[in-house]
Amino acid sequence: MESEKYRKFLEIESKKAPLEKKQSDMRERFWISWGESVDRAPIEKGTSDIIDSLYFGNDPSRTVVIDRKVAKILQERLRGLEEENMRLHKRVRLMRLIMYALILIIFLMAIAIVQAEPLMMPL
Amino acid sequence: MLQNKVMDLEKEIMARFVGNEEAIRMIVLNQLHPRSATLIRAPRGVGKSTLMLLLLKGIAGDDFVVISGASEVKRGEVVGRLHIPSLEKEGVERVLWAAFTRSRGKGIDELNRLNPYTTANIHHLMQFGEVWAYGQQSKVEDYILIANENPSDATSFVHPPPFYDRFDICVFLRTLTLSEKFQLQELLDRYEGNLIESMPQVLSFEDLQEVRREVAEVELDPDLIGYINLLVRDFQSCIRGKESSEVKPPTLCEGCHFIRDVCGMIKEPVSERATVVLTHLAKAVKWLYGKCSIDDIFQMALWIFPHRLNLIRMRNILSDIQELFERERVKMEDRRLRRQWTLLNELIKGFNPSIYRLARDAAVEDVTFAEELIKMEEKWIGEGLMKRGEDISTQMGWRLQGYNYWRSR
Repeated sequence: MESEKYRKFLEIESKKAPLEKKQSDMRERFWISWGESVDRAPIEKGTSDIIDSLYFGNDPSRTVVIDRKVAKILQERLRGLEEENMRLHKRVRLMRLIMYALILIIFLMAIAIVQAEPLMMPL
Repeated sequence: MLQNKVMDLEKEIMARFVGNEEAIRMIVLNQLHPRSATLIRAPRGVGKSTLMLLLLKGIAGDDFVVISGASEVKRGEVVGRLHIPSLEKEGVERVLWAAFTRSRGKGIDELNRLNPYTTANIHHLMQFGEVWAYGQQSKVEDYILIANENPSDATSFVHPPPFYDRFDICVFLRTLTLSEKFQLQELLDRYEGNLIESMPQVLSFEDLQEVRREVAEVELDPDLIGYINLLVRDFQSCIRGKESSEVKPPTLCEGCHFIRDVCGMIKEPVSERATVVLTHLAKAVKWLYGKCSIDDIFQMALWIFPHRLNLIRMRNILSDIQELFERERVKMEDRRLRRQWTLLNELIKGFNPSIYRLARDAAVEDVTFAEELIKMEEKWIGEGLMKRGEDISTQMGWRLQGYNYWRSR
């Protein structure tokens, strides 16, 4: 059972320092970025620059500084991409093997057909 | 207006007591909730007893009783004694309740020199608002209790920490600066050495009770309540459960992930009463000055924590706590930058893997946040959204006591 005041506290704090969600091209996924704090100097402006430039293709500022949290997001994203890359790489290898096997089968079948053809010709 | 009367009380005391303005302000604020208990600590001769008497006179007029730990205090003088004629003539045990229990203003001089029996009776009075003698009970009405002690004095008995915990605040008085010494001499001349006799009753006890009712009705903003709870929780939480552990920090903290955190500096954490008192005082500030900010909370907490916690290295309790508060402020700002409460707010609405990953990153650097996330993980495991082993508590080896694992589903 959550206290109503606790929920309100979280809501108020969320409004002060929001998260921004943007839908990605992939279904059911979205990008999360730090929104602008309403009552603090926007010291993480540089960090949102790098996020926006990487993910949304926006132009970054002349100097881009990223903090630890954003570095972690990027790390997480890179790890995800690497995992995806490995998975696809495995699938490609499997497909390639299947393809070689099929080529071999077709080749063998072709030879068998060629060898069998003279026997089937009418005298 | 009642606010003006409270301000006048503060002014009258400041007109008779040199320096220590913040301590006086805190003591006055602490009187604005029912059954208030204030402890004044200072070296000898700094004015502990004077300040106590000024306040008692200012609120209770002549309706106050002071007992002293320096003299031989008997149970009959604090609680009650048997009425001998009733026993002899009628065979009835009638108790004559002591003036200390009946008076609105209660003062205790040299608290740390009270004997354990008297201390136990006063402890019971503060805890339950009643006293017992000869099998009879007497309810104690609303009061103000002000005590003082010199912690450097050699004492025969050491009072238990729960007794000190019943005191809402503990203010420390300092010795006077050069210019303040001149001020004191002028004051003594002006009042012919009778500072206490000259103190008028500024506020009647009925006025004070009305103030207490109004203060109790003050509504605090949820974010302020949040910061009060957060501050106290950060001074309590320990991922290794120091509250119930026989091994205490710093030994308990060896190899702990959070060793550099505030929790690693605290041997005995503050009690839940710290939250209650801080809330009372925040309401009093809002009632008296119109608003209460996070800075006010930190300022007041400095007088609420010292007698409630034990640090692993204690040099000067006030500056040590002040230092921890500075770290706490940085931590609160860091939480905001990481959007921790926003992440938690999103996760309360429902499990989301992307947000959960960010929350996990934050949790490995924040015990208080980790506790909340672990509670949510238990719920998600129960709902089949996560598997045991994927949760942070299993992966980090954190096991919180009391609200998970056993029959949670």
